[in-house]
Amino acid sequence: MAEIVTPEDPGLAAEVRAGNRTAIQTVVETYLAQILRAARGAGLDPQRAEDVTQATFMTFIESAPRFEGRSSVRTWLFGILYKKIAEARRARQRDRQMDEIDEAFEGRFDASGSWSKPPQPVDTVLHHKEVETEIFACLDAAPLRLTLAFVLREVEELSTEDICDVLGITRTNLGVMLHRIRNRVRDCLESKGVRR
Amino acid sequence: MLTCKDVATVIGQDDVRNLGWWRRLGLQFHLLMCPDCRRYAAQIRAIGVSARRLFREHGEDPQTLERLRETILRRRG
Repeated sequence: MAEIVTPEDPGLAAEVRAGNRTAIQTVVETYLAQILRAARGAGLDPQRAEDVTQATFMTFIESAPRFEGRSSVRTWLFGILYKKIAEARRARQRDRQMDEIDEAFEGRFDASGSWSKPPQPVDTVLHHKEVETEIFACLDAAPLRLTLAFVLREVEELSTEDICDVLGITRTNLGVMLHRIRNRVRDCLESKGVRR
Repeated sequence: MLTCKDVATVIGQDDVRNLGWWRRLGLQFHLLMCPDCRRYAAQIRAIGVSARRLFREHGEDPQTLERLRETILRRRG
């Protein structure tokens, strides 16, 4: 008779590896919404997001016997998701746009490091439909790694260690990436003329 | 001395925690004195808050989740 397994259960990794039905079901039920949300957040349309989500869990299930439990189940799932999304978006090469973003930030300061183009007032009640559309559009257009770093940090609130683990980057990389995507979204909103 | 660009960079990189106490004090003092950087910090924060709310509110359709779960758990057999 299988024991009840919860996500916090330290024995979860072993149960997952053993193919314990309940353990696997617990993992699916616990993380399904998050994974789907992250897939949508990465810019996939609803159908693709579902496909990728399903593929992620199928991969999780079939590789469960090899799960060593060194990272958490959640981190492992996000790692699989990241690879699946990268495959799904492979046609969209956006990395060349990275340099543009830095210039946009640098160009706002004078030689002494003071604002030459300071931030303009933006409606801080960022809830309107057009702002919503704008944030999604901006994230969708950004390089996948930037978008995922943003979603994992701001929406899923993963720790720095976990995000670095999922994306295969260093803490320094992560800082730079968050800076870029945040500036990018902020610039998008400002240029769309969202005003108080 | 922290410049506006330093401040904006630290805030954008989410790095405030890693500053030594002296630099963190300098950062807070700069923010007290500088409305542009204050606005920048507030906007960055607001984007995070909004993104969290937007994504979570959109919430996945329960039927979609149910269907996905069924498919995943059935296939594993």
